[in-house]
Amino acid sequence: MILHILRVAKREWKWILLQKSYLILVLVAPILFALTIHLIYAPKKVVGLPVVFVDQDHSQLSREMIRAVLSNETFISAGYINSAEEFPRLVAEDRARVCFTFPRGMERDLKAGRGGRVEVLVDQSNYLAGSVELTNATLALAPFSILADVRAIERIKGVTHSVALRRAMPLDVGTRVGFNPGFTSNYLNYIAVGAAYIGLQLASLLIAIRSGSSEFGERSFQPLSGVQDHPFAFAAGKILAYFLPLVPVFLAVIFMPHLLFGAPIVRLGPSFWVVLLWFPAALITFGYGLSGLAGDGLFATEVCALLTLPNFLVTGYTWPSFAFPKVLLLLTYGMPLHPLVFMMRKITIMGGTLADCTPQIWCLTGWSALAITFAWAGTRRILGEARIGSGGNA
Amino acid sequence: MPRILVKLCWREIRRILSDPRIFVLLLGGPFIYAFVFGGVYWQGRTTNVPIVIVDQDHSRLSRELTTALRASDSLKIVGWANSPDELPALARREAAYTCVMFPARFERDVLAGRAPKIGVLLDGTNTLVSGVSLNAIRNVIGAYQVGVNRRFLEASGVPNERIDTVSRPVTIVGRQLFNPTSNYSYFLLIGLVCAASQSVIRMITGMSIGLDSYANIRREFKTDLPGAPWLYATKVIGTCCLALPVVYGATATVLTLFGTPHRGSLVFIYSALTVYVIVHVGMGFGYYGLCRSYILSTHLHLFMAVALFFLSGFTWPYYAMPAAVQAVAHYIPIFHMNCIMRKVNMVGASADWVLPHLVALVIWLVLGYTWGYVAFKKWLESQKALSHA
Repeated sequence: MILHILRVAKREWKWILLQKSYLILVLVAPILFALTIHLIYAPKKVVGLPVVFVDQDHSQLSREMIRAVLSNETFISAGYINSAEEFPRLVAEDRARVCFTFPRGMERDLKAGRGGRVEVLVDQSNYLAGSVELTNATLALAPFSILADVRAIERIKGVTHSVALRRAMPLDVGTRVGFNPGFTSNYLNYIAVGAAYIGLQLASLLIAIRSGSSEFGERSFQPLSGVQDHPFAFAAGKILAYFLPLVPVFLAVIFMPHLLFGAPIVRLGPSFWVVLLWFPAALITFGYGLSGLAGDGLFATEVCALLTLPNFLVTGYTWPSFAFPKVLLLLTYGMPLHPLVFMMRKITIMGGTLADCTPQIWCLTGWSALAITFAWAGTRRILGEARIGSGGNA
Repeated sequence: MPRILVKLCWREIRRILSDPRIFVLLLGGPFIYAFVFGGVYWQGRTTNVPIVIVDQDHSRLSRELTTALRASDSLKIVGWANSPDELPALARREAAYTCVMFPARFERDVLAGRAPKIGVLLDGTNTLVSGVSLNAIRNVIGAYQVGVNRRFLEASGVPNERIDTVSRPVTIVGRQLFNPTSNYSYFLLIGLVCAASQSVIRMITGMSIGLDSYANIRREFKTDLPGAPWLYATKVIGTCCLALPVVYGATATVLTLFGTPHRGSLVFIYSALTVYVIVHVGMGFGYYGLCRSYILSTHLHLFMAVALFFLSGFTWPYYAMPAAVQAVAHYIPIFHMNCIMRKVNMVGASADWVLPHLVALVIWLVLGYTWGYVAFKKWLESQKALSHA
């Protein structure tokens, strides 16, 4: 049996080497894909956003506030404008993202105990940048409010500054972030790590997508001598031929963010290796089975396109699955990428094991069962056609 | 001459319509994106983030705060834990993503003016979820902070009408322009449709040329065929005749059915889309020429689809990318299309506000069309050589 498997694998490699461009694309593209994604997210957080100021107060306080805003790394000055009405155009021309308006008489009102008001206009057309802008604008200006409050308490109660500060901030929030130690909206450890797996999923499916269909005529120069009666060896040999070159690609993509960009890998136990071997094996089997069953490489590729194109954003990796409408929840768990991204996140970043991945194990088991069924049916079709082609004497 | 050109265009349309592998992909791609993601982001924002409470104080204040947290629609209390150490295991099992801890003697410390800390432990692996829960918790606790402060000032004899200005003297009013409800669907959906259209158009163009042959054209047209530039033009027009209604339809679905705002000119948006579609038809020919196989070019587009979307700066803003990556982003057509889409639809920009993007798209139109023509000419020559042989 093993000899038959190896013979089929050898036959497959001979054919693959005649189609070098396919092989190079499938082996190199996931690595380039991952590198591109990591480079995009390399700055880890959004900094250097251009801000404009409408200073109608021209007071010491407004100037101090501007200095405080610009000392935050998120913002850089894009100058002063006369009115907030100019802001939309500046946004459209990429010249400003945030506009601070200090109204006339702000300092005077504050000194007179009437309270001041600062308006912060934020470009929320990009949700991600808008959230960062608003949070940092509030962080930069909130101390002014607290400090004014502290001074008022000092005057009223005649207490020391530290006591007044505690009175002004009677409750405090201490935040600790687990699993993402560099968290200040660190997107490299979040999106980039998961998005890199898109390329791996594609490679797993596409590497074998022509292996079955090519048996219908395209490979008449490669006779199936000796393996027609061993369907298991035939399928296993083909899957093995594609599995072996793909494993190093998986390792390269998974370790790239850790080695080149400093993303954390907390755990690499047996669970990691199980996922690493199981996922590509299941998807290669599926790709081969689909290809054999369809008998048409293009049609099989299109099925893969439908499965993979919307996949990442539907997996629940970014937009969380609990926020999905209930009817679409099945879609999340039904996507082949879901188990890979979640299992890898839970194991490598959160330090978990397979015991924490029950829903994902069910998903991958489902895909594996489907893959085996397809591979079985595809192999039967290929070997059946081969028998007919050779006059039933094979 | 014009008659045969019309016939050649019609032939191209017929070929695409009669091959389900091409037509289904063309029709399915942009619409599946619009409907699937429109459905996924239907809520517009993340709500009901599962959280657990660790109440070591068991006081009235901690219970009141818990009730206030429960009232926030961003959070959903799924249980109580004995220690924040339980959160990592809960997060790994997707049972809870945040833990709020009230320490022992919390209420007593507040009353004594010692400013105790409320512990918030977050699962940082999903920034979107942790950001939502942290903001909601800060809002609830911020309201209590002001409340406690007010009572203290009241007790100190500050007149009631002045308490608000004394407790929070500087008010920071944040206005989220162009997407005031921070709707995730408005932010993402239109860009996803542009990304899907790009990939699908390039793929179907590659398939369409790959499945055609000069011998077939000759067989169907007994008269003299026009030169390569005209033949190419008929193929581009034929493909555009089918691709344009699909892209227009998918965009209209996003704008009408899923409510993405459109503040700018729709005529301008659809004109830009027309240029964008022609660019990609041209590039589809170009990529086919590069790969010399429709399956290989389809594989290539599958790998490129998501990478180009990320590179377009529609999610992670391009101005936050490293300078070298930013430069690359500026050289891809989807970057300019997405900028036009977002700026015109959401910001309400007019043509002169987005002139650089418009100019870039027109340059791409010339480049894409020419590249496609060069690839087509090579294909035609090889096909002629084959038919002569």
